[in-house]
Amino acid sequence: MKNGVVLELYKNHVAVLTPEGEFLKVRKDPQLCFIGEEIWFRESDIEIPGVINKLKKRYATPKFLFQTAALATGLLLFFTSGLNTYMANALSGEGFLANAFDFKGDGNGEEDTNQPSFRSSELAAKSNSNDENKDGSKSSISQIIGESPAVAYNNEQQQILDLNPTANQVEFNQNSLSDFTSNDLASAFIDTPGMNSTLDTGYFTVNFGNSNVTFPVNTEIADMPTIGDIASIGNIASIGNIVNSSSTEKIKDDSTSHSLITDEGFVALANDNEISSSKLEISTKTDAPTSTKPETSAKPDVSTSTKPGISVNPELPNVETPVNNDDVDDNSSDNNITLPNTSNSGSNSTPSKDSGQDDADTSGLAPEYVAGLETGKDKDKNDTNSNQETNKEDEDTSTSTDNDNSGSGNTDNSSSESNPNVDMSATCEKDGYYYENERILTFEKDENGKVVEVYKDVPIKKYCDNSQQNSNNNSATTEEPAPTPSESETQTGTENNESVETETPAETETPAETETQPNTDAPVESPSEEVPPTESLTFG
Amino acid sequence: MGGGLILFIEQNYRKNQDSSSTLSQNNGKICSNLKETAKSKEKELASKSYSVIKRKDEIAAFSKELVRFNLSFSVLVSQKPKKKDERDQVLAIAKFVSGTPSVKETLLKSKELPDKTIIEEFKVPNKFIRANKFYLIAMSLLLIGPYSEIQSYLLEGLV
Repeated sequence: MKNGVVLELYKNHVAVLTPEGEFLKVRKDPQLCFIGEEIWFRESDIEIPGVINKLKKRYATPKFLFQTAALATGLLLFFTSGLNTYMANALSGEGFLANAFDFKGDGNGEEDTNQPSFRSSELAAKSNSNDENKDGSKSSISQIIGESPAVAYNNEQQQILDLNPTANQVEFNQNSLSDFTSNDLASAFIDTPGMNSTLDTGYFTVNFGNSNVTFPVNTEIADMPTIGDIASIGNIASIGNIVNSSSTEKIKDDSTSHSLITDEGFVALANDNEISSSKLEISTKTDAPTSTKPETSAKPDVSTSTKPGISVNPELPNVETPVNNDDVDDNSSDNNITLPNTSNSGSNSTPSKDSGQDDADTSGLAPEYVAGLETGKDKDKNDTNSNQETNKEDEDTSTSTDNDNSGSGNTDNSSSESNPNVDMSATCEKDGYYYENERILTFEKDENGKVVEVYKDVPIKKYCDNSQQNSNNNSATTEEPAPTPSESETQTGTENNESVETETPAETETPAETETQPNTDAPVESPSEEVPPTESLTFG
Repeated sequence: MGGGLILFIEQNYRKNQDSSSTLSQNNGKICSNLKETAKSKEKELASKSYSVIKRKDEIAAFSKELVRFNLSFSVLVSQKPKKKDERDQVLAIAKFVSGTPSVKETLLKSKELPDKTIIEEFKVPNKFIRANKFYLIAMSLLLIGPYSEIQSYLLEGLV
């Protein structure tokens, strides 16, 4: 502190004469002092003449400056570094999401290996693929935005996926498969399609968006090397579109796109779709199961032909047992990363399952279930089916019959398998059920990418018996919507990247679900719901 | 001080209000004491204020005298010896100027510093005198003029 006599008053300062003979300019309110008064002031209040000194004084708040500077630099470093790394991961190289999530390591090799396993769990794979397809449109957004929320959303499966993307997918498949296997084929089918389609759509879509890697894997599993490559390249959206298109009604467009892509699987899908569309109304599909089986057998051949590199392929043709193989596949898929065996079994099992399911559906269960399963699985299977379809393309004629069945009952992919199920000729007297065309509200993506409500006539299986109807119809109804949209939608937007939202019925599904491809959701749900705990337990 | 005054006023007020109360006697004693203290403090204040008022007049006169030399407090504030050594030296020179009547006269008449005599006396570079010209003139004027209060205030610190 210093003291001085006030000599003069300024606007914000006071001129002071100190006892030491110093004339000082002190920063002090002139209204608080008068001339001749002796005041005390801090040395920091002394105004040092000079512009620089003025600035120093005015802005000399060292603590504030240093603290703010430190904070700013720290924040800048944090955010910039994080963004850079994230962006680099996201934008670098092959798969956007995969890279971002560090899936690269698992990446192609594991995917390839896992693919067969996925095949084994065709239903799950189909559901996944459907979901993925649906997600395809949104995948880009989800990729950009980030997968973390999605992961959080899909607690069980997603987390697993994060840990081991391939393993997770496999788990998914396994779950679905296990569900099917564990339950009676019919019941399992019923449960899986409806529940999955309605409930899990959101989850799966998100998951798929996040785990793009899985998608390619599925495609590859379906013996779609090209698709897998594409997926790995990062054109997941395109794949999703393709799948959607396949699922949607625009079969021709799909076929064209597929042909352009030169993916056998896509082409097959297109064919299936066409067949399904053309033959949807045709109810006679007793041949379908048989045809499906040959397809499965053919599929392995195709897979072998398409993917000679994969050891699984040769095995695929051999393995054709549906249920048991599926279980095995599930187990193998759990272990999947190793692959070839599991993949083989999975691939075999998946086709066999499809055929088995179809058979079972046709034989024991109501066609609706089969259709629902197929439809629910359609999306999942779309990928798998695409793989199968690639295989089937050669055998399109046979598949076409199948597709007709599926078309009547369900979505294209499933239609091939489910076609026998949807026999429009079925009557209460003969079969105990009948198919009725109902208008179902579905959500499809326009070429512009907008989600539009579409009403489609879908054959719905109705049971004449109350008991069967109750048990079957509930599941069937839930399932039906998904399949029906899948039927109608399967062909719709191959070109448009349509994540075909086959939202089955107005009954259960909500618009949101429809947006996210309800069909896929339904199949996905059941496997995902039931399976994840088991899988998690197994893994853990 | 303020509190004491307030108490004192309050006591006077009560004394006037209820002089017949029993408490008045005790209060009377306190009041007498307070009065004494207040008077003494008033004297102090009066002396202080008197010095302050006197100082104020001196400052006004000093500022007027500075104006005659084309100076002002603002100039002195902005241009002053930055180092204590320089200031001490300048003060010594000012004392010399104020102490020697010849130099004082020259300063008051010509309103300029006798540079040569100062340089000869203190052996100070001409640059130093030019740099601290205003301060030197102001201090010499302050010491020369009849500014007893300011001089006393200064001398306290300068001793």
